[in-house]
Amino acid sequence: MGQTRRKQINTKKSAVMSTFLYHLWMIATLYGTLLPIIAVVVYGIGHEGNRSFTYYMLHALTYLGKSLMLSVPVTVIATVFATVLSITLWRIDFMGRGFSRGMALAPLLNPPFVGSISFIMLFGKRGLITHELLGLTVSPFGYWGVLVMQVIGLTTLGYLFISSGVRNMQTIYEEAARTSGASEWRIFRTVTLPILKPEILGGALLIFLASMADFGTPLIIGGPFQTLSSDLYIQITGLYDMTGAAISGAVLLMPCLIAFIAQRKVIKMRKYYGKDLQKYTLVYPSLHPLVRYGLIGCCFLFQGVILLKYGFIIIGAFTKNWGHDYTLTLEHFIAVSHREWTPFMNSMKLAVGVGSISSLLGILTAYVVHHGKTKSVRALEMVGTLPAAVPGILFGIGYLVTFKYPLFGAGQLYWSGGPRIVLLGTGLIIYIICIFRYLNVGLRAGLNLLEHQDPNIERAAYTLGAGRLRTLWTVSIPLLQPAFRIAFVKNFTSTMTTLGAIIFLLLPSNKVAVQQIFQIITSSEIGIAAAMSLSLSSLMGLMLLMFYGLIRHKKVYVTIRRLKG
Amino acid sequence: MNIRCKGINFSYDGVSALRDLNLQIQSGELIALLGPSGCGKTTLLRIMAGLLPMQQGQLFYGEREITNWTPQKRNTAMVFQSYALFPHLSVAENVAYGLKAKGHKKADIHSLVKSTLQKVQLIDLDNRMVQELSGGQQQRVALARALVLKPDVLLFDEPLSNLDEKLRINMRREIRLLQKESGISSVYVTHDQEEAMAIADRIVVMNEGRIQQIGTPREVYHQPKNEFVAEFMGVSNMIEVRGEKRLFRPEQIVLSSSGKHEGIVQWIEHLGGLEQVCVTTQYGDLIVQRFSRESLSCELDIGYPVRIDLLGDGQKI
Repeated sequence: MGQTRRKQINTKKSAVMSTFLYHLWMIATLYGTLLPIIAVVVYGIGHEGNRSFTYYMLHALTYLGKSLMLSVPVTVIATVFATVLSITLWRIDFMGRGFSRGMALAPLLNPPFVGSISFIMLFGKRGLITHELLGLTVSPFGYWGVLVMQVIGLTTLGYLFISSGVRNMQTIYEEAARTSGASEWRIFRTVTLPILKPEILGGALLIFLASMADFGTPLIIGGPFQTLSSDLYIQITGLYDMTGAAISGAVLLMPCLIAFIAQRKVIKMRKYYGKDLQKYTLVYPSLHPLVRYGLIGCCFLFQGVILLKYGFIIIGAFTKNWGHDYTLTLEHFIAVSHREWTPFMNSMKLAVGVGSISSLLGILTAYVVHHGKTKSVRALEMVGTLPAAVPGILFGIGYLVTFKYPLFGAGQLYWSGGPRIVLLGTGLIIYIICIFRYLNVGLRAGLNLLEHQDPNIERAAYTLGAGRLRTLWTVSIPLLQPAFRIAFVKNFTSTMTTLGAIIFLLLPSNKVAVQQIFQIITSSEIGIAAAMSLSLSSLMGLMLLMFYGLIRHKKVYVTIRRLKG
Repeated sequence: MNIRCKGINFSYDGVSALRDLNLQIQSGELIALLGPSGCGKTTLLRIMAGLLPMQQGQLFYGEREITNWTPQKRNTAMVFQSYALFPHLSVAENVAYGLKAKGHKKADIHSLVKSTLQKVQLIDLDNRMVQELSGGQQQRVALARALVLKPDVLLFDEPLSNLDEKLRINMRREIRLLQKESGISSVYVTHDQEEAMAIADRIVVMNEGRIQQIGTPREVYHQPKNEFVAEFMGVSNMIEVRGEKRLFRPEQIVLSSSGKHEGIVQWIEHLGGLEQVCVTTQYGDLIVQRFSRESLSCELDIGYPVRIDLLGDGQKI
């Protein structure tokens, strides 16, 4: 009797506790994601700037036009490339396919703007092609350079998304069409493409958002061509014009939110594959040789460009002074090591910290969202994924204008005389912004896994007498591990290479490697920039290998033992 | 159109799936390929459709050798286990797909689709998306999509295995009728021996990539060539009579108070109109069938002593 009573009280306590935690987390998420975005808009409208509101607005709209002029063609071209690449690498069998698949992912190990180093080396004022070959001293920096670099970088992003659709697609519809007498080209047009539509559209929207958010590439090689995002950076760091930046930010937000809503619609589109269907080989049984070699050629061409990009970064890292003195040297690496390793250490700490905490929180949020059916839970999911749509630099400005004030920003209402900087001046804010920015990754991965999981597994635990918390710890969380691993690797690499969100929040004491590379490129020290990005990529590669070893330690152990005999 | 398979061998990554397979199918015949999973029946069907490339052997449709023809060029149509209806198209568009691909005129397509949908009783659902249909309706669309092409050969890959029992029995009757009406040579893959016997003119029993027996449903049931076929086609009692193994089906053994052999009831299974009774005898455990209504006059329970009689001499294996 007493025991039952105690159990009841315990259950009640745990219910109160979980409700409390849930609301606390809800408020924290709102605070960390939605509020900063709203704050940008409010700041832009509410603060008197140096110039009139109309001026700022016209300025922002002009740059929005330029951004769209870049992002729309980039999206179209990169989506086509990504689709071609996905189909070639997963549906055609050819020599070097495995290597090509690996290569297609290599750009993930680099900050998006690092490709620009090779571009400068080839086409810069003292570039190999412009100066040495053509004898020019002007550089063709500008629109086309940015377009090409973005296409190269973002095709990988699209490939990741679209190839997962290709890998999971059911070829049985194509077989049905084949036995109905439709030609292969007709099948591709009328069956394959419609079935892949959700993935292709989803990939296109991701590319669009990333292109809109990229401020590094235009800044480094855009010359006179600047976009809304890069203009935001200039307004803050060059002109110290917060009001102008906030208004431009609000304008930038619009197309991104539209893309975000569109993407949510696309994700909800029916996906035409399921595990219940039979799975036959993905490889095309017969393909016209012209098509086959054309596709493989396209793929190799693209990979050639990526290899070229990396090749020149490596060459640049070992060349004394690009454009002037081409002797081989190790001095850049020595300089990097002398400049102290703190930025690298900071990057690693940040990436590991954010990778674990953000992924964990994201997955726990997914668990709550999946099991709760109320409106507030759906809102939590929406708010949690919102930062995926917001350009990093804009999110950073949001934190800047929110946490400029004491009491986590609330002080601006009640305590305007208090000390100006509270959270902003600490290293903690970098962690907080990254955690909320990448919360959506764990959330998506978790939800995806939970949707495909048999709900009876948890019910089985309940019927066997396990309570809610015990079930969570002993059944649900272990089952969510694969989602955690995916989210961790993704968040780790994103945080290592991110710049936009944190660039305005960093202090000299917690500088990260990417920021330093960015500063060095803009000051045209090509050799050191190349050496640093090479070091950063290698470090990331090593860390990923290490994580892989940790996750698969049993398998690795077995392999080593087998190798030993 | 008659079909001839000559010396077909097929292996997946070195694992043999079909071994030296020879088969002749008459024009207008419905042949069932029957066997446990992994016996090679689906592999053979996919080779006939051209979905798997031939590794060794020859395939003839009529007088023409089509061994290396693409699936598009062979005039076949296939009904898939998962239906494989195009999820982004409506019912009518699904049925029209092959006709469009083959370049028929718009007006012809319209009337052909209409008459075929009428045949499978789906004419009112022509504008629905396929996901909105029930499993049985989806199966009918798949059937219509194949029939509308007037193919030389119809191929069925376990088309009913995703339906529930009652629907399955109705559909197999319907498929049989439509096939006879159209007179298209058909190959029907299934792992369900009852379905095979109900639908097919002849049954090809397969195991481990080899044909075990080809025969009419009666032949493979009553005169199986080996123990595998005997076991696979239904409940089999193997009794040694004068040093020879003989097969008695449960309906060939009767419970009778004046029976020659005595035994003890081991278990009883009620199947509605019928009952199966397992009796331990000097020949081992025998499974006997009787009508349930007989239990009114002769109540049985586990452990009861009974007497049985064997009808006829059984089938020599």
